[in-house]
Amino acid sequence: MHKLVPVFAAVLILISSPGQAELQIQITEGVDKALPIAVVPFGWQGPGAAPPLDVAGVVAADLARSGRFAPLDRKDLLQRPTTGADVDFGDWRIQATDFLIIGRVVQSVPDQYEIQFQVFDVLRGEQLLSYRQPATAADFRRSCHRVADVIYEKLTGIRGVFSTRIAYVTVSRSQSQGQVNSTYRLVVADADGQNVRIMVESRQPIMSPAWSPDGRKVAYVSFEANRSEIYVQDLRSGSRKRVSARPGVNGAPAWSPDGQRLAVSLSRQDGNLDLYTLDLNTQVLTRLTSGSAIDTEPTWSLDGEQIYFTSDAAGGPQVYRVAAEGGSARRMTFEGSYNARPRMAPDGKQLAVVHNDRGNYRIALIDLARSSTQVLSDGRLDESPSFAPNGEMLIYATREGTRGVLATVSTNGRIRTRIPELDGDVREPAWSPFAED
Amino acid sequence: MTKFKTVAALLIVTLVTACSGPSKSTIDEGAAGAAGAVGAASSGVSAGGTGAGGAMGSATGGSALGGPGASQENRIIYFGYDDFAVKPEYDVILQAHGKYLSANPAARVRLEGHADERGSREYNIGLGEKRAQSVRNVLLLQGAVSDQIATVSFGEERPAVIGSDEEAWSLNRRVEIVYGQ
Amino acid sequence: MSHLAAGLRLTVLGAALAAALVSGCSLLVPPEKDPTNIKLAELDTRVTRVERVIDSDGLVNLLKQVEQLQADAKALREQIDQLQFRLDQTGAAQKQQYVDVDQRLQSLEKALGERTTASPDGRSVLDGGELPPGQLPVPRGTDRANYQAAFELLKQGRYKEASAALKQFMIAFPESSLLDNAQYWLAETHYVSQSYDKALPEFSVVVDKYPKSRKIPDALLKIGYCNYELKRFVASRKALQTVVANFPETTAARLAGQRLERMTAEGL
Repeated sequence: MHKLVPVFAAVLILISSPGQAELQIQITEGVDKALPIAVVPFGWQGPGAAPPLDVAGVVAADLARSGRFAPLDRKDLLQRPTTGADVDFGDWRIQATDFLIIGRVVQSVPDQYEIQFQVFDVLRGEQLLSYRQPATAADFRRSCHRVADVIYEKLTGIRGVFSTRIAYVTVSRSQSQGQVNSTYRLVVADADGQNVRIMVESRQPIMSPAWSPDGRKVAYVSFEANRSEIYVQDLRSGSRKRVSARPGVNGAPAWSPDGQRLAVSLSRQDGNLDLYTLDLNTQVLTRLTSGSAIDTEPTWSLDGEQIYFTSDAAGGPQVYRVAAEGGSARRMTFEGSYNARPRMAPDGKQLAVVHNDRGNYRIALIDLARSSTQVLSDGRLDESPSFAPNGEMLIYATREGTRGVLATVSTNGRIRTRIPELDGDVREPAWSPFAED
Repeated sequence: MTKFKTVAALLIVTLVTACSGPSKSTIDEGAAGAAGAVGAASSGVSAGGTGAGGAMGSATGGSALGGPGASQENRIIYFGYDDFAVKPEYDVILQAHGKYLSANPAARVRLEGHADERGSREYNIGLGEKRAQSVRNVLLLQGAVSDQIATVSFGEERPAVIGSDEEAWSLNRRVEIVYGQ
Repeated sequence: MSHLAAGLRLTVLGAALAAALVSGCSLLVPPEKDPTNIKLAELDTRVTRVERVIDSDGLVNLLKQVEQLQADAKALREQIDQLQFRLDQTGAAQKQQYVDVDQRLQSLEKALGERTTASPDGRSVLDGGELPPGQLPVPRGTDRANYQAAFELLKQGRYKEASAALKQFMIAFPESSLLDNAQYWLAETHYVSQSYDKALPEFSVVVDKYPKSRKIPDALLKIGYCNYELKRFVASRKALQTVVANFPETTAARLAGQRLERMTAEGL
């Protein structure tokens, strides 16, 4: 039971499914002053037909979604240069555009493209960047997001996250013969909600997706055996392993920074939820906490030395910290009656938690040095915060009516976007790390 | 081990009753159809007419209160917010279920713990598990054996009622007692 | 507990099994003398006793009590955690106050030191450390020298003596240009001792009596701080906002702004 067993059972594992309902992202609140930028439609140089994707459109949407930029409406573009020589800065200054992006897609051999682009500072009339991004037909959309990443980093000094992905769980319910049938899906999509791929589909609940640090695997909890079990699934091949199916609860997997261990919450025989680390290579289980309290929802410190987690040792759920080798736990949160499901910020200095804010469940940041609490979201039943890998934003689950939808908020609380899914109830978003490939 | 116990028990029952004559032992696992109407005398294990009450406890079958024939409302235990203590009002129901399990060693029950939708999901899995454990402890004290009882927590993942108000929440904070397996 | 009962029952069953086998359903002996029957009757008594224990609500009640105790223990732990947290916070705040006062004193001392050496009668009562501990400085020499002497006591953390010395100074030199500063530091002696209810009126005197004093922003800031500690948040906000509005670009205004932010974060 404790061995790694590849399972191909009652659950559909899907590698790719085009044509799925995609997410649309709406900006609900922006910064006071988003920078005006013009993204001119890219030119095309090649023997065949142009690739089906509008590079400038994807890039402009990415930049707009960050809340820091306000791309000019395409119909307002006075000129449409595709090479530096065609740029007339005077025209762009009239339109009060701070920055200008032009480019073209060049095809060398079939299926091989190069996205060439330039970034200009309109006011100074100078080129800031010239860049060539290789692409293939298969990963063309991803390459467009990389272009946006490069531009964003050049203009803000912060690494872009447009080419990262998000994992989340959807539930759709249907009624037949008076019975409600639920279908749970583990979904991976691009950070803009497009390019949806269903990884697992089951009639039983799926929970707690967690990205491996290399972004290649996702650990999650599945109830397909009518009880909780933890799986690790490879995203590229779709193959998966059951890593924990012990008696009682198997839950809340969290990868160690080196990707070698999972912190998990198990109830085993005694029925108490305690934290353990599970070495994925040796299957060795190390117990970190004990006692009658509910100990769950672990998250690792950046150095892998500490684990922050939820415990009800003092009645309501609060965040505690324990050494990754075990030992006595130290309480970290004191403000409010409910602080649960900590997630470590990429800078290692803050935790995002679910916080009870005057009866509302909201996403809050806990500053570890000052132990202060800052509420970021404004919903009634917000949950499952997950940091973007550059630490600029959090994605979380909120409600629209009875439906779960995803939303993002910048960590300074100023920029909010909402991501309504077309069908189903969406929950438990997890933002991927920066992609290596 | 469990199997051994069961076999030994049945063997003894057979031996003892074989000696004691008229009163006949019936072994009935409380068939699923026996809802409500089944009286204590006609179902369940009767340990034989020695008049001693028998080692299996007094003959207790399923009823509308406990056992697989229990009515729907007597198979669900509700809980308070962020709480997993069994309220006193369920003592009678749980006693009936415990007695049934005690009298029917072959009977199996699964306790499914649930939570309302508020707060974080894995913590709610914890609450559901603690709730199932609370019910389990009461059943064990009523004479059930630990091997008879399995627990599982679905947290907030399988609500009984869809909705985001106090009423829906109170109906979702529950343990369901499911016979069979 | 139930394992115990179950185990017992098993033992009983085992014994019955043995008895049944040995006696082999024999009908040769009268029933009342049949060892099997005797044994069974005996077992019956024991089992009944065990059942009575199980049937009574005793065990369930015990379980409930244990659960209640666990809940109580958690509630107590919450209280201890909160107390520990407040204690740590108070300790840190105290340390910060000390550092703050120390820094201000040092800079003032430096400035005063420069001026005192220039004055003709530069002797301070504390020169040469001639003052025995606990004894007040004698009002001789200039007002400045006396002021500095009192100040020295404050710097040494001898707040009671400093307080008395400052009062004495204000009586002995009613025309001194340092009266407003003395009043401010008198208030500060209470503040660093965390006697906010005493400090508050003294800081108010600075504002009311010396409207042109350079100490006004600091005094207002401390009025805000005192009210905060006394949980009079409206008054605290008012004072802090006055500092921010009327004395922009000062350290006091910056500190007041920070405290206002903190209060907002704390939902006050």
